[in-house]
Amino acid sequence: ADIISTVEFNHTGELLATGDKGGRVVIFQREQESKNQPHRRGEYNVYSTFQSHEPEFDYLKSLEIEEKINKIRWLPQQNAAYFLLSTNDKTVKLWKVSERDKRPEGYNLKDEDGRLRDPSMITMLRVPVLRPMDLMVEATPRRVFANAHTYHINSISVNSDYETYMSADDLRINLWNFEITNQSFNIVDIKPANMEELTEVITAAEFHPHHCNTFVYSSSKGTIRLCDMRTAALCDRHAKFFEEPEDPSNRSFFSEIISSISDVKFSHSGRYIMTRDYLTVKVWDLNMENRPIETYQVHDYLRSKLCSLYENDCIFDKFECVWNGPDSVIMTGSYNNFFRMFDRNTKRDVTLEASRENSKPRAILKPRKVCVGGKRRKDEISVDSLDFSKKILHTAWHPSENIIAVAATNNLYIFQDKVN
Amino acid sequence: MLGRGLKRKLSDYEENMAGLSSAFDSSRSLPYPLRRQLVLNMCLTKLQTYKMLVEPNLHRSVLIANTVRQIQEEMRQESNQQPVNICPGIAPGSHSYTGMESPGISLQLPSGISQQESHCCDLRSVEDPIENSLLIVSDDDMSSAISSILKDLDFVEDISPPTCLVPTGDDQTKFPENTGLKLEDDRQDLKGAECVFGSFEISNSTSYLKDLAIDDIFEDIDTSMYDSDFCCPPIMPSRSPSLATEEPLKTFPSCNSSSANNIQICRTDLSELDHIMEILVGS
Repeated sequence: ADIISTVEFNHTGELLATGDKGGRVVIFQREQESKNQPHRRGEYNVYSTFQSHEPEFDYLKSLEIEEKINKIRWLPQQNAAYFLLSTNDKTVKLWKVSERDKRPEGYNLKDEDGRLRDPSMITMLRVPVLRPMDLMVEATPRRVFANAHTYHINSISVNSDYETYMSADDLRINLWNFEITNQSFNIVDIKPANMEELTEVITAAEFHPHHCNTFVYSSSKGTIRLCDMRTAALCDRHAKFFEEPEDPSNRSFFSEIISSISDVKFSHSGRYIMTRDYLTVKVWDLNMENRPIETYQVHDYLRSKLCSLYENDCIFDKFECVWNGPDSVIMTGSYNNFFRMFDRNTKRDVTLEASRENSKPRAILKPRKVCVGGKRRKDEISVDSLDFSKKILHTAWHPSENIIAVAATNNLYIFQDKVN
Repeated sequence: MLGRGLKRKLSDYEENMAGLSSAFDSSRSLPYPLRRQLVLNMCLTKLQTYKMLVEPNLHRSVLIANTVRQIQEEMRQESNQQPVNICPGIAPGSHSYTGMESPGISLQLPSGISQQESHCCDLRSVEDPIENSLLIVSDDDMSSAISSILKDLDFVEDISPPTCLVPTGDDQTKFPENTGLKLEDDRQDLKGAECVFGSFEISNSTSYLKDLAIDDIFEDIDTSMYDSDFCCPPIMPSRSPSLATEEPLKTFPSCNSSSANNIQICRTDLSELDHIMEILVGS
């Protein structure tokens, strides 16, 4: 199994898609709940697997383009088929996943094998009928949106109009129409005329969940810009600029690096945005630009280890963050296969671990604790024993239920609320 | 994977760096200039490593370059505030890192420093007044090196012939023979990895056109007229003389030396090409 690089539930939560470093997409489907086995409440099983992207070689630039899937985003379901967007560094693809459980039989001109029948043998006319067959799930690429990004795509986001979507790379954001693959509109371009002046890159972007004209993008300097596409074709001038003034007591050589935002997500309500930087998760009110309304420390004990983390490049890890359905709890990953949840109302937080050794199926997860210094209690883990190669970068939360998917390197964990 | 070849020598320097970074984190008593020097060295090492890659990560490069600029700016302010004199001892001046251990220590001569752990010979480079002046001089070089890295990351850019970066004679004589290899390594890095780029340039006659990562609009340009057997000396009228040795440097894929396509292009011809492209693109 390959390293999982993205995890995403669809809009109903019935399907869960994962993308991996090898360019594959695996879709899980939730079982229908049955009265016979109430304890097997809606488990997820593999529904479809397909190769979305292949490695490519750009001959002009002498570069290899990785097939790793950076992001998957589902489209809302409009008919019997499911549609999702998947992207690697350069190319976005629209995939159609559909079921086939019937097949036509009784063609006139072909026999059952598909071979053409001898015309002289055809003496009567018959209408093909549909007969049931074993369920087959097939994925077909319906659109390929290529050649629009010079730099590496880090985000895609489907617009609430369901007709357009955007793709963002380090310096530019493009707007696409789903029907048109040979052109896109450039809506943000922060590339300076002289590359020597480049000091900031785009790190993530997302459309507002309800307002089809509004989107946000985050930067490597820890700022978020909200743009309104109605003001101009090129949204280089933001409508709102979110930045928190720096805390001078926390200043270090690595301040800028750890302020780089790795993920930005609108709340389901559309009122808030959540950002993840290296050590914290912040919730911002769209109406207040000068500071976040909430800040949560994910793993502040790493603050004293920044030099080592810089040396081994861990400081550049890009953690994602997610909201739960009601926007009351936020979740993000950490190291040592830990992930953290913060309840915005009760202000309580919990650290959980996604590992096979420490949890059996259907066992309740035990909260974990990292001890910073001094005496280590029995179940605690000291900062120095954390395994920094086990990082949880990608998590997803079911849109309406308390079911979460956590990607730990090449393993996918799905956790649910316990049923009494 | 093709084009991903990254050859790194695990040198003593890198091993020392790993030990130093944990020393940085664990020990609050490391003097501020040493910590800053350590971070700077790590940044430059990383940038140097990225230079070897076919496609450096733009996000990381920008963050590291910003960190280097920041440190460089601080060092520049400090050196502007104090005259370089025979008695080494850095008064840090005002700086914004209030959280750091106060570096109000005036470290004595190098002999005093040698009493500290052997890894601290980096500090010598900061304290020695001769080295200090080299520090000041190399700031410009450093910023040019950063600029050159960023320019490399631009996929639509000028092509320039390799520059023969010859370290100036006085730099060479300022290397005290007995400071050992380590200080020289630091000096190398402190010159903004320029020497590294320079030596890389000289040894590698490569195909610029192939290296050039350019947009698809350039695909149909016929560049056969730019084939030539000689390398024009660099002509840099627009740059100040002190930066004359700096050139935008290219990133060379390590697998490129086997390429059959060796094209040396004169700068003047290339500015014409750019001019033409600007007209075509209508920018």
